[in-house]
Amino acid sequence: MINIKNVTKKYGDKTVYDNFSLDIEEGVITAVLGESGAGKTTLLNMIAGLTDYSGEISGNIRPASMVFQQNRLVPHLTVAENLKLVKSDADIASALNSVGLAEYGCAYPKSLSAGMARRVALIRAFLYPSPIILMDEPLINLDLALKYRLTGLIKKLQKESGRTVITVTHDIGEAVMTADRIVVLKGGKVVFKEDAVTEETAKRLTEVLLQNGDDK
Amino acid sequence: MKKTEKVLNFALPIITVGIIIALWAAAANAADNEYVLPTVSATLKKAFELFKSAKFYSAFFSTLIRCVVAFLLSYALAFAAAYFSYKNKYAERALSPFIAIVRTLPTIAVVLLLTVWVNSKVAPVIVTMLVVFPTLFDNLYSALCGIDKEIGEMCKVFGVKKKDRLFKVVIPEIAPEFIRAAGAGLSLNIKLMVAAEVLSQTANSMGYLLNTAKIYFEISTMIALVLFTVAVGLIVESVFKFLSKKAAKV
Repeated sequence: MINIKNVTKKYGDKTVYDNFSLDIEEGVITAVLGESGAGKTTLLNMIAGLTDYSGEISGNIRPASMVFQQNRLVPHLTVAENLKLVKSDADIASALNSVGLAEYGCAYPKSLSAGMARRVALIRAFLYPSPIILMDEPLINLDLALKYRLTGLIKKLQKESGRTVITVTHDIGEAVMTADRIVVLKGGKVVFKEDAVTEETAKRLTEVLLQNGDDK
Repeated sequence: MKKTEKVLNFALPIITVGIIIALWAAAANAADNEYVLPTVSATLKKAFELFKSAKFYSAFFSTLIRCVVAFLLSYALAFAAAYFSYKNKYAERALSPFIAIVRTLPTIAVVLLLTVWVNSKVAPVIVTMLVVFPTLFDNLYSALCGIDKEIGEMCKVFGVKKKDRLFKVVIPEIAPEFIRAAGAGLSLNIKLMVAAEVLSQTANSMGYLLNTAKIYFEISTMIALVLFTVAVGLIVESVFKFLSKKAAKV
């Protein structure tokens, strides 16, 4: 279990989390939902160790791997070189093959479509030997068909590796399709937590988010 | 690129040079006085004579060595200043008045002062260094500031080794800008060096040849020397532009 205990995080005068606590189960996909400014990305950054905070975050969280909102592929390196950067002894061919990009090892990120670049960012995160993978809006700005395909890919990669995945989003459909557990944040507090995602979850999530003034 | 665009890209600079030469020829014809403006052919003839003389090559290579020394020193100083300014905002604040002063230094006045303080071989090197330094600093500093911080964060998350980060991520990212800055700096360096040599009356230099030609009223020699300096500057700039494009492979 990943334990976030009494965490406080401030940006200048703005308090994002005040004595915030949350337990996240390991080895499953947890989606963190919430409106813009709810502190979703801050939560990931704190777990990844990219920002300081007071309080305690414990569990199997180091090293952490990440899928960023922008892919953050190094533009002057080929796809294969980008992957080798995070794991020099990786079997790049089979990694690319697993996401249907076997032919693109020598391509530069600029020449990839949005979906292809996303798949490279995803496989890079899974290639990096870490117990936890943090995803910041991994399917943002992608069309519906692509979202559906990549959701399947994330689930497949997580199932094969058995690693903990925490994905943040403000898309209910994406959360329901991808996650095993769902947490909704509002104003730095947990306002909804579901440990088993069912057909009813989407409906209840919509109600919760509407109730809390979310317009997404 | 369309075929017409390609042809125009190639032909337009040649046409421009052609127009300049035609205007020169017309003006020389109108002046009809080689002491005011020599003809194109007289200048070319003088240029070939120069290229045959050992004195010219000796002067040219002396100037070139001074250029390289001044440039390397200036580049090293500009890089150090840019790096510290990029890494530390207090260093940037501390260096900014120095850079502002160097940027506004009156070149000719500095040459004259330097000729009093140091010998005529060193004065052009120092003045060239001082004048080129702010331009190099600006280019190198903006290249360093342009390093993608998000990629840096990605490297931190994925524990990319420092050596890999430097050689595979950072250096290839800034190399095109660094090479372009070097080309522009070196080209400016050559022009300034010749001017400073004229003022310092540096022996065995392009500036000295120019000054001697002026004293003997050899206008065609002066123009040939100027054209040669321009050509060297252009070649240097083109080579560095090409290298910069090669470095930016995407």
